[in-house]
Amino acid sequence: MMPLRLLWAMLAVAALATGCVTAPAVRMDYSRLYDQNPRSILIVPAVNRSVDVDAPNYYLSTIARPVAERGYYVFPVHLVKRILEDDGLADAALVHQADPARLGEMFGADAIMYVTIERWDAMYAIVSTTVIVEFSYVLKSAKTGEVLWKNSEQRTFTPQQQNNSNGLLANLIAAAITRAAPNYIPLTQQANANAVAGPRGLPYGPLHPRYHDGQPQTEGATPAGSGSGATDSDTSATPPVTMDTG
Amino acid sequence: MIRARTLLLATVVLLGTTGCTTTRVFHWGGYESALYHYYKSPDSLDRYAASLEVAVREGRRSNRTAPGLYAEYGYVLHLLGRPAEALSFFELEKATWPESGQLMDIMIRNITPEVERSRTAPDSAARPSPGTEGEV
Repeated sequence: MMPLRLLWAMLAVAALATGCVTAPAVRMDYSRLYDQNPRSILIVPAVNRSVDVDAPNYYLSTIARPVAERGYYVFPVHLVKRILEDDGLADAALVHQADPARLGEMFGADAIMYVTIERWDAMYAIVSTTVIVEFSYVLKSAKTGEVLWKNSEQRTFTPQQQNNSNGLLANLIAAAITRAAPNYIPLTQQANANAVAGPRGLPYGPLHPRYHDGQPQTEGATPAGSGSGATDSDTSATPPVTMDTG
Repeated sequence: MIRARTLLLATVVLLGTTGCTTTRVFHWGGYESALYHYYKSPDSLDRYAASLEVAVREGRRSNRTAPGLYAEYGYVLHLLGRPAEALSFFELEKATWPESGQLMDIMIRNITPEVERSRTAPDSAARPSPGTEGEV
């Protein structure tokens, strides 16, 4: 009971510490992105540089929502993956090397997002386990192939060490729990949220109610599927921390 | 015990006061979690389908269905051998999101013969014919 509750509290603290940080705005060159003004983004399966073969699939389940919530039409990621596989492009590295214009023509997309999983692992020590994820993100124009935006994010999680009399046992148990089933999803959600909605994130797209904020005026901005009263804030880099992965 | 409880309480209070709330533009339902579990156990297509069914039903009610969800559900219906319903969801995706038009036209074109076959031979409509499962 105790270790679970401890772990839960630690997770919440970690989420608090990493999720809501409002870093000073970083100057990013958005000029090409504004020039191209993409409405739709094709997110292709991630290239995996980690040793965990499941990472790309699990990753794919986390990336559509944060990108779409910025106001872009995101193509159905699982259907896209299956179409690419049926087209002989099961290897994500091949897809990433392919001509963006060809992919754009295939799906009718304005821009392509390429994610590389740089790290997705858990480092074990006797009384602690550190979970690490790191991703790089590149958005390319499907018309010209040029890079419109790029970013990268790393997140780590280590259960905090307890120094009271129960400390050693608690630390051992916490490390064992983390080690037995490292849960990458909350960290991945935080990384994605900050990458696309943080200070270096994507500007609001045409499907977002705040699309025009700070952007050149363009036509066709009526959100087709967005409903009432969406009041976003610039601290929207807060992902849901818990996800049932049992 | 008290330390942990205090910490948890403090965390909850802090989370409640920092204004880190996110209002979502679209309705996603359990899509992310369902897709994760489907990748984790690929034989759980029924469970994935059930989650998507709820997500698109709720989304339609509030007119906020997330981009791509109708198409993902349509594809699952295709895998489950329900081509007529699959077709209707591809059409719904296209109607809701013109951005998907080109892709949805391909899906609609590919599934239409299947729909016609299932109409002429209703007995065989309950399951996909061998060898076609998974093809797009």
